[in-house]
Amino acid sequence: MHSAVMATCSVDELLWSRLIFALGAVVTLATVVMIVRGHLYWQHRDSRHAG
Amino acid sequence: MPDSAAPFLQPGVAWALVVVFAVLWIALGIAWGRRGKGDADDYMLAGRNIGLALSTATLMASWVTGNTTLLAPEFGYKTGLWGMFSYALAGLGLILFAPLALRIKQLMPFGRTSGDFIRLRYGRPAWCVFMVITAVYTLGFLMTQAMGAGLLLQALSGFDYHVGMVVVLGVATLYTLFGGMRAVIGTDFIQSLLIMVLLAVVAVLAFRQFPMPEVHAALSLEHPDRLDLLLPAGLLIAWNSALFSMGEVFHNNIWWSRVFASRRSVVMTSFVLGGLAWMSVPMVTGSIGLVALARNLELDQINMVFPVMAADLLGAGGAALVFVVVFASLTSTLDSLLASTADLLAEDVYFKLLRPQATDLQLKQAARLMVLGLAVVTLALSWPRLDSLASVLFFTGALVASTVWPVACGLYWRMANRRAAIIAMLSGSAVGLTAYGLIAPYCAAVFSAAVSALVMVVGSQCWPERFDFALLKEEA
Repeated sequence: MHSAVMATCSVDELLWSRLIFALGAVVTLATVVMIVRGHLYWQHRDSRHAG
Repeated sequence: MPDSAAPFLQPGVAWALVVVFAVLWIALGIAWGRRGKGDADDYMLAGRNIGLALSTATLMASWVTGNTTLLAPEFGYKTGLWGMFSYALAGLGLILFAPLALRIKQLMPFGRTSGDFIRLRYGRPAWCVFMVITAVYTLGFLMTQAMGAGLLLQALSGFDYHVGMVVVLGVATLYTLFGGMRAVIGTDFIQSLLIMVLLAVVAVLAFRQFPMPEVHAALSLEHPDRLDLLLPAGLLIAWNSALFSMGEVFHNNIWWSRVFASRRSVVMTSFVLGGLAWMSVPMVTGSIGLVALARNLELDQINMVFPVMAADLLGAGGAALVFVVVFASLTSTLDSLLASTADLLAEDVYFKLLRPQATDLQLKQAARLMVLGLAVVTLALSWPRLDSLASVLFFTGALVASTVWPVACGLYWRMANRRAAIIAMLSGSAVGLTAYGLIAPYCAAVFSAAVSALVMVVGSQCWPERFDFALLKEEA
């Protein structure tokens, strides 16, 4: 990692990588949950209206 | 590879392959373009009646770029298991777009472009921001594919950089120009079959000669870091691929045009299958990179690991197979980019903004002119040779990842706020670009998506709208 941020912090490279990995995992998971919830909500609603 | 390095394939054989496939694609493109009613909808969206097999194949072929066949083995070679897995995570973009595709088909049965949706859902200011993002991304993508064509054909067969670029771009432009989306989808089907079959041949041969236990044992002994799932570089890349790919797919008209072109009954399944089929490509090519590493294969340039392995296993035949795979990968991506971007410009800029009174025939002609214009612009921008294509691509990741939440929320949430969408795209792009410069290019998409998501959620919760989704159907 070639970073100005890294240079000014005492946190080591692996910890930074893990933090960014964790952030990526959280954002990806949140996106998946939002899409699945939206999909199920509208599927359920549309089928109820069709019925 | 230096210009003086010996090519993998004799130029005469390479020219013969180029002529055969160029004639085949153009002839098929023209023949398929004559089918249908011949109106603008037919030219831009193949009559909106594409079935499961064609839809899946075109998604997979468009998503397999020159990078997938050459960069994924490099990732496997350089960063080991995480490199391979993280590249394959880019398939998530297609798979997660599947439910959105169904929703788009329900909300906008007569829609034509992603720009249509943003304009109707969030208004003209958001559309302007969105169009800037999509223009930067599309031009970057077109340039990397055109430059990649020049560089790859030069490395594989000794073609001059400019000749290789003109040949690949010229072939893709010709059949797209004459056949429109019908030609793009038809040729994509054949190209996807070619890519899958040829890759399977190389992979089977590689693992027959070098079984997995031997590869694992060699890597454990000499390169244990490549099997380390906590490798810092691997961790950094991991989610970036997934979020970058979501940004690419969610916002770009390549994928929206496939939604509008496919039948409603197959649209969701085809995106799931297309994503899964695509994931097999970087897994296969990435594992070839690991085999090369285990064998300590000598490489002049790491991104040539796949051609070197294929030539090593199959001799001149292997080099010819790689040439065909790369040629098919590049043309199938370029045709999709040209066709869908031309549709976006013709529909959103020419028809909706400049000439709302234009006839159907004029719209079709405008789409054709856009295809030609885009090809010329791409050629001009790609003429000076750049060797750092990956950095161009990662740069665009910071922009497109900021569109993931505005697009998905706009489809599912009535409360999604239009100002929040604009701020989410702008702030996400700004933070992503800052991370690109200050931390590392391959974590830009993570920061961009994180900030964009936060702004979208907070903005929509604090200032909720009550959007009427029927507006999308009526106005479209």
